[in-house]
Amino acid sequence: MAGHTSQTVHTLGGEVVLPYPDLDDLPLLVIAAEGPRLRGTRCLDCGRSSIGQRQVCSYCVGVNLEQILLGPKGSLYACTTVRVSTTRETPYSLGYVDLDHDVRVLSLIMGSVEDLVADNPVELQVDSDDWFFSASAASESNGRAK
Amino acid sequence: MTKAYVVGASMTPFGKHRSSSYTGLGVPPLIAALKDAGISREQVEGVFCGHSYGGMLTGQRICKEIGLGGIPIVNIDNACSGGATAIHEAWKSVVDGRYDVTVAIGVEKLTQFGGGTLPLPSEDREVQRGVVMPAIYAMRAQRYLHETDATLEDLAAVSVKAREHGSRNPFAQMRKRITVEEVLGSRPVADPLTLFMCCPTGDGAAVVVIVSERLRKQLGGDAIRIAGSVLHSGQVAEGFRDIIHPEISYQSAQDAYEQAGFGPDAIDVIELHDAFAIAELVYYEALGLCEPGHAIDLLRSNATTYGGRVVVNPSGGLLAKGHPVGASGVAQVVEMFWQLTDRAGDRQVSNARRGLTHVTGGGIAGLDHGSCTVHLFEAT
Repeated sequence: MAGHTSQTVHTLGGEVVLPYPDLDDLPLLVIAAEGPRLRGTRCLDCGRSSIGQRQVCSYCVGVNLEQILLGPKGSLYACTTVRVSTTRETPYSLGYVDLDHDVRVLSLIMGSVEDLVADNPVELQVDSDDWFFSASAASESNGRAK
Repeated sequence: MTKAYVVGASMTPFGKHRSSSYTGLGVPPLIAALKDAGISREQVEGVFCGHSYGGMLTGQRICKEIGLGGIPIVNIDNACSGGATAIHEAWKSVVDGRYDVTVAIGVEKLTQFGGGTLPLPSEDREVQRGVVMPAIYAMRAQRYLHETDATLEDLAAVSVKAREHGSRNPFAQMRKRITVEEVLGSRPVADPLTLFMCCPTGDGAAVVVIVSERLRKQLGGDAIRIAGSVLHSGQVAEGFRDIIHPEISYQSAQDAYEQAGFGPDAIDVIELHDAFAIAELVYYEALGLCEPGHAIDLLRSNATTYGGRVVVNPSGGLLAKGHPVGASGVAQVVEMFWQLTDRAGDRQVSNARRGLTHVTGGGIAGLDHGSCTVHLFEAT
């Protein structure tokens, strides 16, 4: 069960529905024994997956959920280097990374301009304080030749 | 079901109106639109006000200045579609027979943020990772360039066309013509988009008066019929989503055509959501102006400018006219009112009989866009 335990209290006036404590969600990054992974949630009712910790499946409204680990390998669907932003110091590169289980995550992308190509294979990396994707080792020779 | 008509319209020029508040922006076009329609404030039965950053009771803050009150005034945030959503709600209240006379206001003041990209909700997980609106469209552009034969010059050509159209529009924020070289040489914002491929930030307000068939006959002045009005929300996709074929705009357009009983081939003039140059190409395809993958051919053939099959963004669009978020959807309809009543002056599309407006709103995780509105209009 990846989601928080939802508590439902029955009273005379009706059901008291408590809010999800989603601001206390566990972080996306998981350092597993086999290396860095991203936390995802799989719905045991419909079998579909989403990025991050969830309390309800947005596909089928199921609450029978399990945590899964995603990555480290993915495919860079599209990316950009942002040079004007209100949220971070520029420049930085962002991309949509498609992971297994049909899950897409928006991530910081590190690497040279030649690596920032759509459909390039990328891999999850970690430095001291953040996670990001960069061109996977296998693509050093393959990816750029495309 | 009664028909609904736009019978009056007005807007401020878009630009940096640093000395004007939301009230200061909204009141003059409200007065002018009512006057244009020949409607007194006592006749107005409902007001819908689209805005995203105006704060509490923006519509009331505008309306009270002309003593307009005692009636429902509803404030609507739907990001860039806020103004068009206000029009949709006004239309719906008329065709449902609830009101005979409604007003839709769109108003926004972006200079309050001092420039830069639009503030987005910090609760969204992609915003937390650093997403900004130009980045969303830049990724769309990168993918479009990756999958099609389009070039950077094609993206630049969209901006050149927008500025050419905007140069004839006294309401446009950017009225200087530019060249492909100038677009490509302007400051990079989010690769591959440069500054001139992005809409400017600014302030402005637009107002339209929407009435029933009964009132239109009584008024007897200029009117255009609202032939279709569709509002959609995005549908979540946690995994793969084709960002150059955004389903929300495809479906909204299809529903609007079905409602109106005519399709893209019958349309003479379009105001679409070109917040960034890539969007115009993507939306040619979404609105059915060409087959998917052929937007470039359409643009290069000059079919979407004066003399072409359908003039897209005669006002200059968001790229040249400007994009005060909540105001844009109403401003598009103001332009359509002028175009279809032969009042558009130097930028009049000749023999314009039918028009379409399209605006999408917002970038949040898992959706193409949060909202999308498509309207179809017919001259009377």
